[in-house]
Amino acid sequence: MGDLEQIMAEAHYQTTIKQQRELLVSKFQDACVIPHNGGIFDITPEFLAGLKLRAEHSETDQLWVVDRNRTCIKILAVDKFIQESIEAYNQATEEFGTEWQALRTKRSVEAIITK
Amino acid sequence: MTQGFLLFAHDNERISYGQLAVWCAQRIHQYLDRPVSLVADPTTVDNIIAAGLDINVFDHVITSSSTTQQVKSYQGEMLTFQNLDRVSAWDLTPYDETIIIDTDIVIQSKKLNLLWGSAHDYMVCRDARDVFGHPHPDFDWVSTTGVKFFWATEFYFRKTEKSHLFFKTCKWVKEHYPWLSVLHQYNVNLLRNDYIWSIALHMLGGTAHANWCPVIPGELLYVIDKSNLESMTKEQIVLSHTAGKHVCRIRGQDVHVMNKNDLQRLVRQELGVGNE
Repeated sequence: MGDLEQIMAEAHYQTTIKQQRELLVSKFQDACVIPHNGGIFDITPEFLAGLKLRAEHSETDQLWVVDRNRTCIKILAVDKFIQESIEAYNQATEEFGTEWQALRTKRSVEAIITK
Repeated sequence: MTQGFLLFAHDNERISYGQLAVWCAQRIHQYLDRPVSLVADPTTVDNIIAAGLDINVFDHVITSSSTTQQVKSYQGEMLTFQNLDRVSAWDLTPYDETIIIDTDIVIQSKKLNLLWGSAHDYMVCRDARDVFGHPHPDFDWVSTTGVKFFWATEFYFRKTEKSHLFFKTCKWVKEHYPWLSVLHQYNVNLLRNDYIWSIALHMLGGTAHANWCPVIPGELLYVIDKSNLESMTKEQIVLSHTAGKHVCRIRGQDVHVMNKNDLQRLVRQELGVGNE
């Protein structure tokens, strides 16, 4: 362990903001991942739009969708899955936005790390 | 289907991996709410009990008969490491679905719960990032002319014939490690589970590549042993890297902390165990 106060005094503000922002991005991406029926899906606006379009043109409530590991997974109740995905994405962006807003208004390394 | 975590711990001259395992199991209960089993040698188990820690935090304590040891330099000291029974995880686990993790991962999220019930027989950790953004090509490739690097730090598997084949391949790689070092150009003096995992996956991909293998979502955040762990609570950690005067705080994300001296000191504080 080093002398944290000394390190905070000497750390570059812009670098610290950038590193904390990268962590927020990583956390946001983690929050946009949801499991379903053995598959794992990255929820993006493009994914949601594509899925919604397919669901509108489908005659059944089930769809095969390729997950992040290139595995085809049967979505058993598409509308419910879309709703869950939208909720997960909204919650992830909400948290990202709130935390980013709090971070960007801090004006010192000490405030970023300790408050 | 039973689900649980499997931890491996073998104390050495400096690091009490058993204490790290107890702390890690408590974190798993707090964030992931799954049972945890421990694979350890009898001395490590005795040390846990002697430190006054609750061994019942583990629902199974499995005694490992592995005697393979290696000596390597860690922060200026030559220490004994006994970490090679991980290839026997398939034989040792009491669960149908198992997640193996290193005991030096600071669990601060529910992310690993995404893996349960996977359609895949196993999933491996590929994507990782230094918290301070420093590049580490040795965590991208086994060597400059070698195969893609995969981490044995986190690994999910279901107990099936396919996952059994993976672990059998790992055992084969371990047995032929010196010969494979010539082929893959790694340092033969250091037997690493990451290398064993990487080469096994490469072989199972027809010795072409390991792109076929399902990967654990997200990035494994890590800091190398030259970075410091300044403080740790149940909700957040503060890390620093003195050489570049970097400092950061991490909440709600798991972090692999390779500075075991710092981690051990703060783990002992959290567990209420005195420093030896």
